[in-house]
Order: sequence, then structure tokens, then C-alpha cells
Amino acid sequence: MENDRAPVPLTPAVFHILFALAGGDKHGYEIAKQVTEDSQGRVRMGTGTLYGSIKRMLADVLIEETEQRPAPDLDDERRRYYRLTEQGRHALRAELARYARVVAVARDRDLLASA
Amino acid sequence: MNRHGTRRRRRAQRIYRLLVRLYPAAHRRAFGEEMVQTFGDHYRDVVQARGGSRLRFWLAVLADAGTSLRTEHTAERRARGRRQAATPRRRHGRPTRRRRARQRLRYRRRITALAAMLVLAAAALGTGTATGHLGVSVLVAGLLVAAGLGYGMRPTRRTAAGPHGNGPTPPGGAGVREPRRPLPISSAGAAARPLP
Repeated sequence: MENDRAPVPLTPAVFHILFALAGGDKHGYEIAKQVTEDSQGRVRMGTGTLYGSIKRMLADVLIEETEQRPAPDLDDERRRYYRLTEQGRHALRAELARYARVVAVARDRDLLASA
Repeated sequence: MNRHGTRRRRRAQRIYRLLVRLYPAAHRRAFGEEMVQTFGDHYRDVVQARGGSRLRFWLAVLADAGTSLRTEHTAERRARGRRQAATPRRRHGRPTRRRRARQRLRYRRRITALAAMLVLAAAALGTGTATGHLGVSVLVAGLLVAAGLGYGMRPTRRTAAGPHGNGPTPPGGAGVREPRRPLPISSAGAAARPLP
């Protein structure tokens, strides 16, 4: 089965970064902002945590650096842009499927009714 | 943004650059500049554009740096341990160059811990001075120094009492050293020693 081979569960930081990059290529600060937005302000990723996670995700080939850059007037050449790899996309899907299964079980047991 | 704001942001980035120097060299080389730039963007958005509290901002930065520094150094130590385990070791003879380097590295790690503590304390004091919260920053710096000193303390093995510090325990209780007595002097003036 496809999901069984995926590296799940992911750490919260890795999951949020993958989730942020699912919307398109981003540089470090854009990822941090997207994470805050996606979590409705509940998760604020510090610079140290962000780049530590990026380093490990690059090593695990969940993300990669991309050469595609925005228009020169919007770009800062010191920035590096990251994007999801196929493996990263697969890991994100597997993690989301795992969450969905947990939510389905919680719904069956009526645990979400009062939420 | 006015010149004053830009100057403040640059000063904040300089302080953060000192923090970045505490990361392992490989991490610093790969992401150091990017981290400083991201920090600058974050500072501009949170403190300057939204008028957030600088103290709260810096406390969050220090907390994040503390956590990620520990994570990165642990990962680096593990990676180094794996590399060392993979290389064959010479057991006899003079210490190899690698072993001597390891000894120096051990020493440097202690210096690094001390430097990390001092830089974090200085960053806390600098931030407090810059934001006008000197009292809080002195408290934070004090806590950092106390934590650093506590980290540097290591339990040492108790030395058994004896003539050379490694002999059997003398009568009178463990850890109590028998006082040295002067050797008996012969009438000829030479120390009387037992015959071999």
C-alpha cells in the first residue's frame, strides 16, 4: 500500500513546512508567514527552528532548492527558494490521510460533537 | 521606513548575527546569511510595521535560538560520532593526529559553551538596553549565566584516601586521610628505612 511506505508521522514543523510549500515555491520568510497564516496564528515558527527543519528536509529530499525565481524587481538574489519534491508531496498526502483517519474515528466515537 | 528604523533593524541584525555564530559551522555556512535576512524581515514586520513589543520579540527569538542551538549541536555531535565510529582507530603507540585533534576539540567545546553563555547574556543585556527594559534583561542574563555555570559543573569521582590518593581506606572512616607522620630519624641523622 502506498501510504505504508511513507515516512509518517511527521514532526509538526516538517508537516507545517510541507503544507506551506504545497501552495507553491517560497523562500524562508514566506514559509514562516504561511505557517502562521495556515495555523491561524497558533504556530509561529522561529528562524532557528525553520532553518533546522529545512536542513533536515533537504537531506531527506522532502524539499529541494529551486532555480525558478520571481521577477527581478520582486526578487532578492540572496534569497533561496524551496519547493516540494515528489517524495515530500507523497509524505504530506500520507500525513493528511493519517489525520483524516484519526478524525473519522473521532467522529465515529462522537468525540468531535462538542468541538 | 525612516532612517532611524533602518538603523535599529540593522543593529538588531548585528545582534542576531552574533547568535548565528553559535550554530555549528556547517549549519552556519549553509544557512547563516539567510537566517540573518529572514530575521531582518521578521523584525521589520513584527516590530516596525505592526508596532509589536521589542522585548517580547527578542524573548521569542532567544527562546527559539536556545531550542534550535541545542538541536543542531546534538545533531552535529551525533554525526561526528558516526563519522568517528566509521573510521578505524589505532590502539597502540603514540596518539594519532586524529586523537590529538579530538582532544583539542573537546577543549574547544568547553570554550564554545562558555562563549555561548556570554554571547547570550550580552545579547539579553543589549536588547534590554535597546528596549529600555534593563531590569528584565539583567534577570534574563543572570538566569543564563546561572544555567551556563550549572551546565559546566560535572560530578567528579571521589578519591579514595591513601598515601597517594588511591590506596586503601585507612582506619578512621572512608574519605578520611591519615595524617602524614615524620619518618623516624636515626642517631646518625639518616632516615631509617625498612630493609628491602
